[in-house]
Amino acid sequence: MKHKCPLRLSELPDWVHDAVTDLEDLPIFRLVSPNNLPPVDAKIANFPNNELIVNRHPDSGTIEAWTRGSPPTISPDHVQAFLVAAGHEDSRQYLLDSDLGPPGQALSERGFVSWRSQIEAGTPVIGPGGKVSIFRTTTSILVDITVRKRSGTLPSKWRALGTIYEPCLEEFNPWRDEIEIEALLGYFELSKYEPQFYLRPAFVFIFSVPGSAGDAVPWQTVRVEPATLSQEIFPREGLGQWHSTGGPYE
Amino acid sequence: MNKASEAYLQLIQRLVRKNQLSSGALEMIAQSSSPCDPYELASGVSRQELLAFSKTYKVLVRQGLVWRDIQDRLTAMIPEVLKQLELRNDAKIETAPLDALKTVGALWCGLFDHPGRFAHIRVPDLRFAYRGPSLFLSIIRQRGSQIAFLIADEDMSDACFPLPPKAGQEAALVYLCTHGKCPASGYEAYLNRGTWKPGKTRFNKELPIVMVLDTCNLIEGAHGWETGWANALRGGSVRLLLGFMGLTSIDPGSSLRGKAFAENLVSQKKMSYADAWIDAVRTQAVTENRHAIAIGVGDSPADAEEMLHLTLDGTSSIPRPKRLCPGPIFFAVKDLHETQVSTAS
Repeated sequence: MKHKCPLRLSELPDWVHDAVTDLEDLPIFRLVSPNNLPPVDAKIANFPNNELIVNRHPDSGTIEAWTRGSPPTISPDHVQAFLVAAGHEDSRQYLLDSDLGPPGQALSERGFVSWRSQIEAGTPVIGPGGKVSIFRTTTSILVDITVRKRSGTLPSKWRALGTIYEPCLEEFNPWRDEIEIEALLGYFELSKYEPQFYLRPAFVFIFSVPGSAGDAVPWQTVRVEPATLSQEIFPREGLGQWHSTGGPYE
Repeated sequence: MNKASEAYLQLIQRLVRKNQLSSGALEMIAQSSSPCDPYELASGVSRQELLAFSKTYKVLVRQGLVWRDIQDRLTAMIPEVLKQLELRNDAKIETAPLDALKTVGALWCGLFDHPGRFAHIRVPDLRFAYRGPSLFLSIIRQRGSQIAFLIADEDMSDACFPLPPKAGQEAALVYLCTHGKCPASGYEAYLNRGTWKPGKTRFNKELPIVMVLDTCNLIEGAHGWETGWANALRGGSVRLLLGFMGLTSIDPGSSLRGKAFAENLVSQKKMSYADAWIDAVRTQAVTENRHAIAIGVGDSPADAEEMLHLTLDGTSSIPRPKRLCPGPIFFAVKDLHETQVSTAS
């Protein structure tokens, strides 16, 4: 779930309550350890003459691939092959992020394309991971399949919602008149540079101060709050280095 | 001129832009009595590209090329191509390898001591300003680069700019992380006390070449920022600026971009600085609208675009970019989606 326009700080509590209304408790998923993943298929897509190099990133085990040269286009068949490979990593829905790139431009001609994933019941996967992306550089085409395989579930319960937003209200109160918040709720997946053992529901809040008032400086920061808790794992397990306000985790 | 002929000329222009067609080859095509496949005369073209474009060429021939018109247009193109090649050659000749090019330096400011009421509300501390530069340095040092200098917090003052003589002469790349803003008067980076405006600084003639400005607002919008940077960079060594259009997050998760940037530079991918930066930012972004940019700076549009191809090896083992001449300066601004060129006199 994502809000439609920047929120004011005073609107955050209502947004958090609305976001979970009618949602049942979402499970936390165990993820396969990077050490237990099968080798990746080097022929993930039908590129001639070993022009595509494929491996698993050593930190996370997610798939990354790049071409030796810069092919003029990525064919629909190649794109399909990458999405199939993502599906083999973890069975999810992959949805084209249509906001990216000039309207009407063919996918094959775009500098960057990505597909965000959703898991059962249409819950989006948010964060730096959870997607397939293709980036055309000056010398190569880079493909990241930052999707981790799920191996089991842990039951979890929504946190007391006040413990999620009240620390934010306190921390950002000095900037309450100009701060803008972009808020998201979904399963939070880390980038390819971090190992991750649990995929869990989380709130992401991006706090921005445009700095338009007098000599105030513009700045921005991100907070990632676990949305549910399980007795079997620590409250911040699975969120890597992303900063939360620090609890209390109730 | 018919559509097929226009498309044929676009193929030629694409090869010329990518420096894959020499002026001699272009002249051969222009003098040929019948249509010929430009990819047969091109160099540095991948097999896949060759197959795809040869097929396109055959389709265009079937559609009917008006060869006389094409020859006229090609003949007119040749002087411009020669001029671009000359500029590239100039850059090669003017520059000689430097021993110290595989060095980097970093500055960050997480603690601010600005005067006035509510100073820590107006200019809040950045607890995690250290993470981007230090993660970058950690990786790049493991792969053989040397760290020329580190300057942090209260030591980051007006005295740092221009960079201390020894430091400035030794670091090919400088990584700066602090608050930044870009009012109508131009970019400012926040120091422990006060701000640094690039226009105040005369950069050295040899180094640094690349500046990473891991701050908000290296530029605020698509246009209007060029004059300030042109004044700061004219005659100096800096040829590539990496940063953000608009706001960026400096927190523990987002700052992993420092590590990602270094890994991109030193990995087998051999990415250019520009691509390595843009890719690093997008891999650590929680939403897709983080606007990382790379600005190549040069004496001509081709020269500026060439800087977007600069690699770590390109600043360490092969000739360095030449310093900028007095006169008009061109900027090639690349983001995740496209490259645009602008200028300032």
